[in-house]
Amino acid sequence: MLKMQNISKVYRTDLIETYALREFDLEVNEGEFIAVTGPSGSGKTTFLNIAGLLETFDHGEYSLDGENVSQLNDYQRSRLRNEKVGFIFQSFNLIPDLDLFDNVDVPLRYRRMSGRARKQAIEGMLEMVGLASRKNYLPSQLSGGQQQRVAIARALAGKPRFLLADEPTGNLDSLMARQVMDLLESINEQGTTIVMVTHDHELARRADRNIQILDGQVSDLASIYQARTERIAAGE
Amino acid sequence: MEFRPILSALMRNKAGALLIALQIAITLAVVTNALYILKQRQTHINRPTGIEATADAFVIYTRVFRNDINIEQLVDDDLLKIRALADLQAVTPIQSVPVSGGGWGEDFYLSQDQSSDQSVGFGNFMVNQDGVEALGLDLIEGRNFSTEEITFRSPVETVYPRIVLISKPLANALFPDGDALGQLVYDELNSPHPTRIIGIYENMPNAWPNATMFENSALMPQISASNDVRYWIRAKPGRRDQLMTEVEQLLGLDRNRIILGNRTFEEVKARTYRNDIAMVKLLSGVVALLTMVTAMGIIGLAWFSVTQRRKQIGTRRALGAHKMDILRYFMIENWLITSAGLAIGIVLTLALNYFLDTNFQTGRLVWYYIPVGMLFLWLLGQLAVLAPARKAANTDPALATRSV
Repeated sequence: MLKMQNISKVYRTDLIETYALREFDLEVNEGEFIAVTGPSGSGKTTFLNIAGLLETFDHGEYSLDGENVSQLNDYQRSRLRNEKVGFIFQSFNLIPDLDLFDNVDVPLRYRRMSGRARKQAIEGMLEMVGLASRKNYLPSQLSGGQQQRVAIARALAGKPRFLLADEPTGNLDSLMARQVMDLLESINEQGTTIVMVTHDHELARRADRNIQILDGQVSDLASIYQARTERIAAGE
Repeated sequence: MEFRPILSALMRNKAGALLIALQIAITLAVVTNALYILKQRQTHINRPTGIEATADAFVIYTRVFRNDINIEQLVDDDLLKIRALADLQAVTPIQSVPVSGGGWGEDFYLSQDQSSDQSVGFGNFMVNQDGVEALGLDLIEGRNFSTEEITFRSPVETVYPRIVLISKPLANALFPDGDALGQLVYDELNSPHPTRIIGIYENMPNAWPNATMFENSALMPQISASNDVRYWIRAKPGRRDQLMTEVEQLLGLDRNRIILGNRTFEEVKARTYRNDIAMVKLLSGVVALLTMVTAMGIIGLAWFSVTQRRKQIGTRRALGAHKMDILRYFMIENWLITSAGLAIGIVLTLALNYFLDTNFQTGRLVWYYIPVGMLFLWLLGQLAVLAPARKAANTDPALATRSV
C-alpha cells in the first residue's frame, strides 16, 4: 500500500541543513493499522506530510498504492490525495463557516462527484459517525469528540484506501478518545489502511504495528520499546 | 460550481462582505451617473461648430480710446495692413465671437404683423465679404456678400441690413419647408425694412453654448463702427501662432488704441467651456478615485480573508483541492459579493439619477450605462481579487498539519 525507500527530507536555511527524515524506510501493507510514535521533533509530522503527499521529499522513492509519486506535479498530487488519502487532524480542521453536511462535502466537490452521489455519501458517513441528525449544525455547536467524528466522516466520505490520522485524539478527553479510537478500529476492520501518529502509547498499543521514529529514522528502539510494553502488560 | 457553500459561508461571516458590497453599490451609483454626466459634458463641449478654421483662427481685441478717430478709416487701414501679411488666409472685422459666451442676440420676424412670441432668436455676427472664408463656413445655398454690400453700422443703429446669410438650423426654424433662400424676414414688428436671405451656410453656432438656439446664427454685411475693434483672422494652415504675433505687433504700432488681447478660437472655446471642462476633470477624478478605493477595498478584504483562512485553505488543499480550485473559490466569492453589491447598486443608481435629474436637470440615465457599469465592476472585482486569490492558491497544504 505504502512503500518508502531511503526517503530524506532536508530543511535548509542559509546557515544550516536539518534532516527531518534521513534514509527513511517503511512499508505498510494493505489493511494494516500502524501507529507511529516518537518524541517531538523526531520527524513524525514530516513523515505524515510526505505520506499524505502534502510535502515533497529530497531523496528516495515513494510509491502509494503502486503509484510512484516522486515525479508527480502539484495537480497530480492533489488528485491522488483526494482520491486515495483521507486525513484526520489533531485539531479537526473543520471549516467553521460550513455546516456538517458541507464540511463532509468538501473533498467530494473536489472530486467532481455528482450532487446525488455526494449527498448519498455524506448522509451515509454522518449516519456512520452518529451525527446525521445534526447535519445542519455548525462545528462550533458540537463537542470536540463530535467534531472529530465529523472529521472522520469527511476523511472517509470519498472512500479512500489509506487514512492518515495526525494525533486524532490529541485534543479529546479519554472517553472521547476511546470512542474515536473504537471508530478507527472499526474502519480498519472494514479494510481501510490506517497510519496514525500519536503520543499516546496506550492508543498505539491498539494498532497492529507500532513504528517509532527517532531523529528522522525508523528506530530499532521501537521493537525494544514494544517488547518492554508487552512485558509490562504481561506483568513480568 | 460551489456557489451554495460559498454563499452560506459568506452569510455566516457577512460584516466585511456587506461593507464591500455596499461600497460596490455606491461605486456603481456614483460612477455610472458621473460617467453619464461626463459624457453629456463632453458631447456638449465637442459639438461641431461648423467653423472649419478652428485650428488656424484667432481673434484680436483692440479698443480705440480717442473719440475723434474715424473708425471706418481705421478699420480700412487695418485690413489693408493685415492683408499684406504673408501668413494670412482671410480676415474680417467681427463684433462678437462664436462660442465666446457673450454676443448679440436678435430676433427675426417672418412678417410685419407677426406677434413677438412667434419670432425666432439668433446670434448676430457682423462680418465683411471675407467673413465666410475667414470663419471657414460651408455656404450650401445662395451667394456670399460682395465688397460693395458691406456697410458700417453705428452702435446706436438697430435697423438690419437689406441682406443676410443664415445658418441652416436658423433657416429650418424660420422656414420649416426648406425654402428659406430668397425669403424676406423683418427686424421688428411693423418694420418697413425687410431683409432678404441671400445665402445659407451649413452651421455656425452663436455665442452662447447653453442657449437652446445655439445653432441659430446669421452673418450680416456690416462692420461695427464702435471703439471696440475686433478682427477674426484665419491664418494659412500651421501659421496661426506666427501670424498672431505679427498682427499684434502691427496693430500695436497705432498709438490711438490698446491691444486688449488675442485668443485663438481654441482658447475662446476652452475659456467658455472652462466650467464644463472643470466638471469633466472633477468627475473623472471622482470616478478614478472611487474605482481605486473600491479596488483597494476588495483587495484589502481578500488579503485579510486569505490571511485569516490560511489554515482552512491548507486543509482544503490537503483534502484534494487543486490550486485552481482555491483560485476559483476566491473568484466566486468575490463575484457573489460584487453581484450583491451591484443588485443594491442598480437601485441606488436609479435613485441617484432621479435625484440629480429632478434637482439639476441632468437628464435620465441612458439604460446601457448600468450594464456597462456592472460589467466594469465585475471585471474590477475579479482583477482586484486575483493577487490575493493567487496567494491563497499557493498555500502550502502541509499547513493543515501545523499548529498555526
